[in-house]
Amino acid sequence: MSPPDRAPPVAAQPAMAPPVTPYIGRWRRLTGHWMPAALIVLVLLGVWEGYVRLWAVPKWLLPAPSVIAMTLVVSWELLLDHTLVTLVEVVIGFGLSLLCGVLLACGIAASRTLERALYPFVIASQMVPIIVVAPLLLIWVGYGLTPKIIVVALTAFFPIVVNMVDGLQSVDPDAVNLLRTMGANHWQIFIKVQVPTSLPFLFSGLRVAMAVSVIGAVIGEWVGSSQGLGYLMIRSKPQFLTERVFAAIVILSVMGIALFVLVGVIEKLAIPWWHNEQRQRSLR
Amino acid sequence: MSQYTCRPAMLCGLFVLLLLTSGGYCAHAQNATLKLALDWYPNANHLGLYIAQEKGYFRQENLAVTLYTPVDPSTVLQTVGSGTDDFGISYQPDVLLARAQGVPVVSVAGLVPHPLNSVIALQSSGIARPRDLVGKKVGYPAIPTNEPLLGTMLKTDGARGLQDVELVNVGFDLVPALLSRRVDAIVGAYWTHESIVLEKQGHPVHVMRVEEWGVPDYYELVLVTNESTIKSKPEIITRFLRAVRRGYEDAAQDPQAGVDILLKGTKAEVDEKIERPGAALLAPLWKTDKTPFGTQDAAKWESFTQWLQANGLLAPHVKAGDAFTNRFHSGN
Repeated sequence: MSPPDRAPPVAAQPAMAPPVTPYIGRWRRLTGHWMPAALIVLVLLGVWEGYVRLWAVPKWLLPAPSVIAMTLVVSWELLLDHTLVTLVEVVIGFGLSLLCGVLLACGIAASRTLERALYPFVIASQMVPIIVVAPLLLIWVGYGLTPKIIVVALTAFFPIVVNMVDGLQSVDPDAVNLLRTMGANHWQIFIKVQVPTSLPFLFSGLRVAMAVSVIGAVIGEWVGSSQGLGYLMIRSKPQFLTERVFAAIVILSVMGIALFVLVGVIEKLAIPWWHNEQRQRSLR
Repeated sequence: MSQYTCRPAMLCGLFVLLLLTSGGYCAHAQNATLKLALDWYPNANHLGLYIAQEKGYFRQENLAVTLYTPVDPSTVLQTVGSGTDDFGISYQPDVLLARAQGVPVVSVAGLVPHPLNSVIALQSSGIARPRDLVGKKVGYPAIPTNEPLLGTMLKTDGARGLQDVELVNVGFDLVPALLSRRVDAIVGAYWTHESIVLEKQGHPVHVMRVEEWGVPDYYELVLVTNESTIKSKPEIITRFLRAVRRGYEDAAQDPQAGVDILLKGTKAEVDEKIERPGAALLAPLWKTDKTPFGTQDAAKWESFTQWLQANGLLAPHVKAGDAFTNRFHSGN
C-alpha cells in the first residue's frame, strides 16, 4: 500500500475526541429523546383500549391492544417462526439491494454515458407497481425464497442509488483540484474524496431502504408463500383471527424500527467524522 | 330557478340516500335500499341476482338493490357482520369459521347447493385421482379449509393424507401456477370456472370433485345477512329472497338468457366464452324438485360442521343450527 492510502480522508474534519458523557447524563438524554414518542404511543393505546371496551367492539372487528398483547404472548412460538423467515428475506434482499445499488451508483457517477443510459431505467423501475409484478415473479422463478428477495431488493435499491449518486456528485471541487495538483489519479480521487463525501448520503438512503424492505418482504409473501409474517396474516384473515393479524403488524413495525436504528448505529461507527462535525455544528 | 332549487333537492336526496343506506329500511314507504356484497367479480354464479335486478324482480318488491364486488372480497363476512352491507355472498365453511370467532352472520339461502371446489390437474400429467397426487406439488390459495378437503380426498383414495403432498401457496393465480408447471395440481379451483379457463386455453384437465372423494356435501355459495337484520327486518329479507328465488328459477330454466343479462348488467366485463359453459354446468344445481330454491338442508349443514370439527378447523362450540335459517322461505 502506498502512503497516501493511510492518510485521513480529505473531506473529513480533523478528528476530535467526543466529549465524555457521564452515565447519568447519557441516561437522561436517552429518556428525554424517547419520552415524547413513548407518551404519544401510550396515550393512543389508552384511547384505543378505552374505545374498544366502552363500545364493546367485537374483537374480529377491532381487537383491543391488550388482546393483541395476549396474542403476542400466547402464540409467540408460531409468531417467532414466521418472523425469522421474514427477517431473513429482509436482510438478504436488503444486502442484495445494497450491493447492486452501490455498484450502479458508482457507475452512474463515474460516467455520463452510463448515467444517461441507466438512470431512466432506475427511475422507471419504481413506476412499475410491484404488487402487479410480484405474482409474475413467482411464476417465473418459483415459490421459494428467491421471489421475496427480488421484491425486497426491487423496492429497496432505488433510495440507495439516488442518494449515493447525489453523494458522489456533491464533492468539493477545491478538494478534487488540490488532489489533482498533488498528482492523484481518478481512482485515488474517487476513493479519497468521492466515497467519503457520499457515505452520509448513502446512509440516509439506507435508512429509507431498510424501512421499505420490510414492506417489500410482506408484499412478496402476500402473493404466494408458505412461511413468513405476510403468509401468517393471509392465513389468519379467513379464520377471522384479527388479533393475530395485528400481532403480526406489531412485530413487523418493531422489526422495521429495530433495523432502522441498527443502520443508524452502523452509520455512527462507519463515519464518525461526519457525526463529530454535526455535533460541533450544533454546539456552535 | 331550476339551478336554485337544485341544491336543496340534491341535499335532500343525499340525506335520504344516507338514511336508506344506513338503516336499509324506510318504515312508512315499504321501500328499502339494500347493498349486497358479492364474493368475487360478477360471474355465472350470480346469474339469478343479475336477472332479478335487470328483470325488475327487486323493484317489484319495492327494493332498490346494489350489487357490488368489494375491493377485498375476503372481507364480505366482516362487512355483513358489522352491518356495513345488508347482504353478502360467502361460503358455508367461512360462515362457520366466522361464527366461531363471534361474527354474527347467518346464511339465509343456499345459492349453489354443492361444492364447486375441486382438485384440477392437467390430463398430460397423468393425474386422474387423488392417489396420483402422492409426492406431488399442489397449489392452493392458502385458504385453511382447502387443506382438510385435500387431506380427506387423499385418505379416501388410500393415501395417508396431507403429509403425502407438498402444498404450495400460489395466491389466487391458480391457473398460471398450473400452466407454468410450478405445481402438478391445484385445489381451491372451481370445476365451473378454472377447468373451463384451462380447457379454453387448449389444456384438457382432470377434475376431481371433493364430494366424490369422501368430503361431505356442502353449500359452496350461501347468501348471508347478520343477526340483527334478521331480528329487525324479517319482512325485508323475505321480500328480498322472493326476488332472488325468481331470478335463480329463471336462470335454471334458461341459463344462456341469464348470461345475456349478466353481460348486459356488467357491461360485458365478464368473459362470455367462460361464463356460457359455466352457466350450463351450474343450471342443473339450481333446479330444485321439491323444496323452493334457496332452502337449506339441515343434515348437510350438520354433517359438514362435524367434518370441519373432526379435522380440528372449527371450534366445537359452533352449532350448525345457528349458522343458517330457512324461516324466510315460507311466504311464496
